[in-house]
Amino acid sequence: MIQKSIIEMKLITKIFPGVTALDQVSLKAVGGEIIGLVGVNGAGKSTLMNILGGVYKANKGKILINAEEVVFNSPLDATLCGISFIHQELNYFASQSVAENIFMSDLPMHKKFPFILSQADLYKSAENILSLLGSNIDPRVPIEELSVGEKQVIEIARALAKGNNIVIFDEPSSSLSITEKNKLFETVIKLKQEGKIIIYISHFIEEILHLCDRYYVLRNGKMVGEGNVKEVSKNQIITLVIGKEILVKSKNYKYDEKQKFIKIKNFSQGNKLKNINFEINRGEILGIWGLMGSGRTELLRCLLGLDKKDSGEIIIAENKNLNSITPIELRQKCGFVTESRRIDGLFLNESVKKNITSANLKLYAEGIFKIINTNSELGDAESFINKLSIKTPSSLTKIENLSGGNQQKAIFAKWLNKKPQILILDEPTRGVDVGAKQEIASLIMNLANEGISVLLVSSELEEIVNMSDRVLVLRDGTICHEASGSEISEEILMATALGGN
Amino acid sequence: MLKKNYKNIFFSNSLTIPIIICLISAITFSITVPNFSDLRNILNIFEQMGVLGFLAIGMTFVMISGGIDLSSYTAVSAAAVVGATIMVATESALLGSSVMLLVGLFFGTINGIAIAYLKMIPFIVTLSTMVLAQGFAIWFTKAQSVYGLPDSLIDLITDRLFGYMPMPAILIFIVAIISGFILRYTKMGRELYLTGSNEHTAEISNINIKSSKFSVYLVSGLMAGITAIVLSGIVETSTTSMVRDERLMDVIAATVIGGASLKGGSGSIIGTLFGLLFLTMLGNAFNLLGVSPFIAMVIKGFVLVAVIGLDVLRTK
Repeated sequence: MIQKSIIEMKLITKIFPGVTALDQVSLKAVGGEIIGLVGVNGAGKSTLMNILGGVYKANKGKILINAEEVVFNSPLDATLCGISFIHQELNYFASQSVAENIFMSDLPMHKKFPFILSQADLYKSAENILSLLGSNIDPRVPIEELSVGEKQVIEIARALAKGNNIVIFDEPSSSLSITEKNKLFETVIKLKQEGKIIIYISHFIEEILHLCDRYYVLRNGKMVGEGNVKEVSKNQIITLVIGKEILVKSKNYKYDEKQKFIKIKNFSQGNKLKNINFEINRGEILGIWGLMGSGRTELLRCLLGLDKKDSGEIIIAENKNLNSITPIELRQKCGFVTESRRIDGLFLNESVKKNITSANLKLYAEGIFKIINTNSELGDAESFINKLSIKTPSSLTKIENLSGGNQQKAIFAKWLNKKPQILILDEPTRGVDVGAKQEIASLIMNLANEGISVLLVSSELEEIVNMSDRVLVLRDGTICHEASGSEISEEILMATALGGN
Repeated sequence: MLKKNYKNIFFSNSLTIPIIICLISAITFSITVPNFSDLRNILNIFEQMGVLGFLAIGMTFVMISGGIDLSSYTAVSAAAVVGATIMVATESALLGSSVMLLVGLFFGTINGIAIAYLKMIPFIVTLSTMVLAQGFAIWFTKAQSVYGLPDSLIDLITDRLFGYMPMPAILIFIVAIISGFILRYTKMGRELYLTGSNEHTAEISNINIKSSKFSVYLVSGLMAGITAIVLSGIVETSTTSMVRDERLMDVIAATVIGGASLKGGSGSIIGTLFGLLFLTMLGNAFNLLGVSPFIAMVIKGFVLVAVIGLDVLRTK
């Protein structure tokens, strides 16, 4: 019988200069159960976990492990007490084998010659640990050859190898595909069966509901809710997380043949895209859904001329004429929210203002020297900051310092400043918290109501289902299904994407 | 609001460091180094600064775009010898000077095409053109200096306005104001910062990153041409090594001290000039103290490493 371990955080208060990050927060976890910790960015999740991890010291409150008080002066202290973190970003030695990565701090030595490593033992123990996690990864391959999900398994195996009892998952699933997610869940459940204490932090409330036994909700540094997962609904948790009732906007889009705006004809590229045809009307949100590798990203890149297409035509209705335009011209006419804002969405070391005005500088360039009118620039930026309620100390703050959700809103502002007739959105709410997600979703719907055509690409099925007026399902580079009205449901989309009917 | 802006312009992070460094070294040198604060020496410092100033301004443009130009200092020699040869043959300072500018622009064009349009790596491209320009200058003159430049050029460059201000210092002042204006206030300048800050975002935001990147090498080439004219006038000859090798590092260091990042997206003309002022004062103080030039090089080397460290800290 495995002895159940218990960890308790009692009335933890943490004050940073000017802010109370945590206000008398308590949390208790018992071995063999999975605790879900939910909250928007800035709610205090990371501060709480950093206290548990020995990064910060609490001003008040104590931590008890198996009813004994512990004091962590450094992250090392926490590790020695059996606490492991599984982060979103993984740390590993890329060219080294899986087994070496698992045992890097404690490599097994040869029994007779203790100054050399025992390869046989190394691989055998690695296999044991991996099989404990239900994984059949070969411990001999270099870790860089593994997928993101597999690497995460290695990270968990590492925690097990150290004999750690408390495993904290910090947003572990955000970069995983669906199959990998399911694998991760299986692994987490295995850990639970081993009697480990598991704290699972996630933005995805469905995951919490699916995986966890109990939940804790943090908001503004206070624990605002806790309980058994079985006794709560998704909307109840969301309400706790954002602190107000959620508004689900009704879609009032009416299909109208006369409103055809843009037509994509015969787009093909190698074997990635095969003869794609579709239309978008004014004010319509067209969702594009497909699994990883179905051609979602390739389609967008080809449409906008970032990759070369083999064939294809874009026709746009302008002033009652139908004009054929090039992908580059389309890029000039549209707004394009890319999937990875830090890579190609933001100018990180520039101010919020300069980011917002960057896509339409010609609006502010005056005279033959094209001098930028900074006053009207500032005015426009500030009106967008108000309109989209972008939370920033000032319009001159570096955009790097904003939260993910506010950065994303600033990117929307950048494109809206161009007054585009079409918006192309690739994963528009990736990596933003629940509250900002709602705001961005209602922003997109309002824009569509104002007559902007929206092409929405997302890997989050729920987002596609809630927002789209019509959905195209991509599979192997072809459109395998078009769904509209009541046909837009998670079940149907998933089934068609996987190859069903 | 106005107060805040004022604060922003003068005490933004990138300018604080060069100004403080300059103030501290100016005060220290005035106290410890004899003759440092004499008017004659101060004018001397400005004159020396003027010579590298043009190259440093060119380098600022290039570094804001995220690139580097190692070739501008040898392009000076190539431009100078070709222009001087024509000056001597035609006795026209104007024609010869124009040729110097054109040769500078020519090297800028090569760099610009290779980097902006053929997407080659700035460091490698300009390292190649650096060797190319040096080789060309030596081949063109058979390693001889060109003497007998027209007096009109020499008189103009060595003239002192109001009997005090050296002409190169005045020229640099004009060029600095125009460049600073372009960078700070125009669409071209803004696009340059944005391109250097994040090329991918800039491209998606419909900024013409190719022409942005191309233009900075043209500016750098043009600055090499101007330097060729000024230097030829000052030393009254044109040689195949108008700017010494270690001066290249001075130019880069001045730009980095002035707030430019080797990663692009930051930097300013005024910062660069302060950076250059600091390095010139340092060299000048060593000179007055009679420090061996080799020891001076060692110390300067340390300063440069510290400067690069500064860049790392700042961009963290």
